[in-house]
Amino acid sequence: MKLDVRGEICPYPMLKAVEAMKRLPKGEILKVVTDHAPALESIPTQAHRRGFAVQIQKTGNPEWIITLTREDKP
Amino acid sequence: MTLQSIRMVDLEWIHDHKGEPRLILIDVRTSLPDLQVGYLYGHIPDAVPLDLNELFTTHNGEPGRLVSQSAAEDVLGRLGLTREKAVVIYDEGFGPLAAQLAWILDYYGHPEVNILEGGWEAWEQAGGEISVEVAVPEPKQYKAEPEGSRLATVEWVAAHLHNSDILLLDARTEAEFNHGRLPDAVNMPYDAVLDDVDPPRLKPRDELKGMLAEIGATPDKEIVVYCEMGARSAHSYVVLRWLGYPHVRNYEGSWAEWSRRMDLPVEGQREAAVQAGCVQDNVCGSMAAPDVSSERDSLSHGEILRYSRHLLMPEVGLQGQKKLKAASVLVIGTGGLGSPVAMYLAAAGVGRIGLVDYDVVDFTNLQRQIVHGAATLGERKVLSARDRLLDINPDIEVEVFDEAFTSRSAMRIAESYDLIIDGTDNFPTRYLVNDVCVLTGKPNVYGSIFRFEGQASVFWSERGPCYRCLFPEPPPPGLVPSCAEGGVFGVLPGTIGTLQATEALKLILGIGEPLIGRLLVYDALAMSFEEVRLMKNPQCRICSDQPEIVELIDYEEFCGVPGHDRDDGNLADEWEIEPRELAERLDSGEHFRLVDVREPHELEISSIQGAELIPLGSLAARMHELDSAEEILLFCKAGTRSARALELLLGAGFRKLKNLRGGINAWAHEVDPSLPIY
Repeated sequence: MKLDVRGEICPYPMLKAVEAMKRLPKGEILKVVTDHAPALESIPTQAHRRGFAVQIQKTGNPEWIITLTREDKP
Repeated sequence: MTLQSIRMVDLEWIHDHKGEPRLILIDVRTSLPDLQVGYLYGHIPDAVPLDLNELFTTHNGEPGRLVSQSAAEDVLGRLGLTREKAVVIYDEGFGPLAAQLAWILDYYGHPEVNILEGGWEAWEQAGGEISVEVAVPEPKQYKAEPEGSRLATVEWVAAHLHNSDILLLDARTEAEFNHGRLPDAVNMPYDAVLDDVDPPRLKPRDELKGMLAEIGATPDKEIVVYCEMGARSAHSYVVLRWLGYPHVRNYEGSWAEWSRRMDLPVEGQREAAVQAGCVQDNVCGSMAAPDVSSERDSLSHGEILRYSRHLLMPEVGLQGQKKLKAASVLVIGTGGLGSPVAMYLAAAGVGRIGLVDYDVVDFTNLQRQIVHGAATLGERKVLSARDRLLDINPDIEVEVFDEAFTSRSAMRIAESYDLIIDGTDNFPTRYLVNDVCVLTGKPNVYGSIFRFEGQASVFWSERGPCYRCLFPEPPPPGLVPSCAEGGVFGVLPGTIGTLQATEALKLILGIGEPLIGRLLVYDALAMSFEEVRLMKNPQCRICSDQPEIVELIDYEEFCGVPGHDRDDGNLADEWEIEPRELAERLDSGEHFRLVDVREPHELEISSIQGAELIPLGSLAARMHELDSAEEILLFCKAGTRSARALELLLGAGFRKLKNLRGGINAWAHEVDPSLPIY
């Protein structure tokens, strides 16, 4: 699932990513596209709390794709 | 001051008060159509929707700033809100959105502000009734009564730093806090007050008070909360108010505003944030603040009088004037652009101005280079300019570099300056200035002029594009004529240089919207300004993430031209003819073609009898008029254009060619003194 929050500023990228994480179907990966640098820290913080692994890829200037994958709990 | 506070209410409270006309439920959730999340997909019955973005706007280039009071009153009035209403706000759980509206209403002195704890999620979980009917409230007049003590502005915070009665509380994540923060701030992420269940609930009061006391946030202090843009900090604000803390302010502009102000101190590893890639816009990264704590920290009575017209304006004021005094600016070139730049910076009180130029004052400079005068003809330009600047303002320091700005000297010269002004007239130095600025992180205030057109911009690679993002490669040598060849409208550098001085002063003061990412293009004939938006080039050879250029290079080689604007050709001696020799050959009556490659209007200034006019620009098209069997002697004003003409003809197979060394000006000097030199 892709969540495009380009053009949105704090706190929306983080809040929307949290909503999307809450509702993400099992086995799906969430990709958040953002151009708001502070989201690179606020989104991973929320993701770790919710048991998601985070990968950040720089795709533009400024633009990033944050890939959030639910970590399997043993 | 009113004693109202912000209350948290639960589902039971809603059920008890449902249907009361005094009650107004406001849904501030965000909308995610893909996930069917938001007001339209279901809300608490009778709730009215509010998109909080309506209460925020972009101000001075900074997004996320509160709209004007009258605009806010309009938005709130349209919800059917009056001061008599008991407001209940809810968002998804209890997050920054509900808090943001609660803070705004608290700031506007609204008497009864409540937040539904657990928000929509709690309502949904408890099986509360869900409506999809969109409420259409009857608009009312809302009257705000702002309570100034609930809001912190950047000026207020700056004036209250290092005050033991005031605590700065950073509500961002630990990582953001570590990257950069306000001086002496303490960190408590906004959601540390919530427990880990869904929906999150506030931790018990005593536990929260203990957590706050541990970081020094006690009710006897005035607590200023901030985050990135003032939303998460509104959450902390609400919690503190709910706990009964009497003196809490939300710093609305927050880190986004603070970090943009190069004059304000910060703590933390801001460089790391820059390296992480947040290199554009207002999000992070800023120039190191000038050291205002040195002996330059005060103004004499004489200075206060001198800068009276600055001090009268709050945007400058005493603090701003001290910043100017503490600032240092390097001006590369003391010519057309450097003249007005240096003079205005001196007049404005910039404490240390560096001047770089290797040349002497020439008579043809005076048409536009207003820092020099007839009295200093033939003198070193830097000394001539220094005398003029110190005459304007003896209170400043002027440092001179009577040398060329080259790859070898650039870093040494630029090192101690806060920002650099590009007043150069050639491409090698322009690329050099850019690269020095990128490599040292300094802003480059750029200007260029040609005939009737000029450009200005601020290239600051930490905040936006650099010159190489715009022009990765220099133009082919000879394509763009210099001022000495193409001419320049004398007043033009006055306009562009004054724009550069304006931008430099704004950057130092931290006011207004700098020309970062914008190229201003001025046409003096049309008297028009156009603005071109510039983007950072992700493949830029020097300011991208993987730069090819990591140190200064040979710029003359890179550009294929020398790093100065002198009027000389670069031909081997065998292709040159001296003026006296030409005179002898003309007298002898031997046959050759004498070709003047200047522009037609230059004929009115001076000419050589027997010459035919083929302007350089039309030479390629008119080459058929020449015969390679005949000898061709070329000249122009000073020898540069004719040297280029000669190379052009050489390339076309002509061999019997000569270039008049020094052009018609040398001819006038050595052979025909009746002609003017220009």
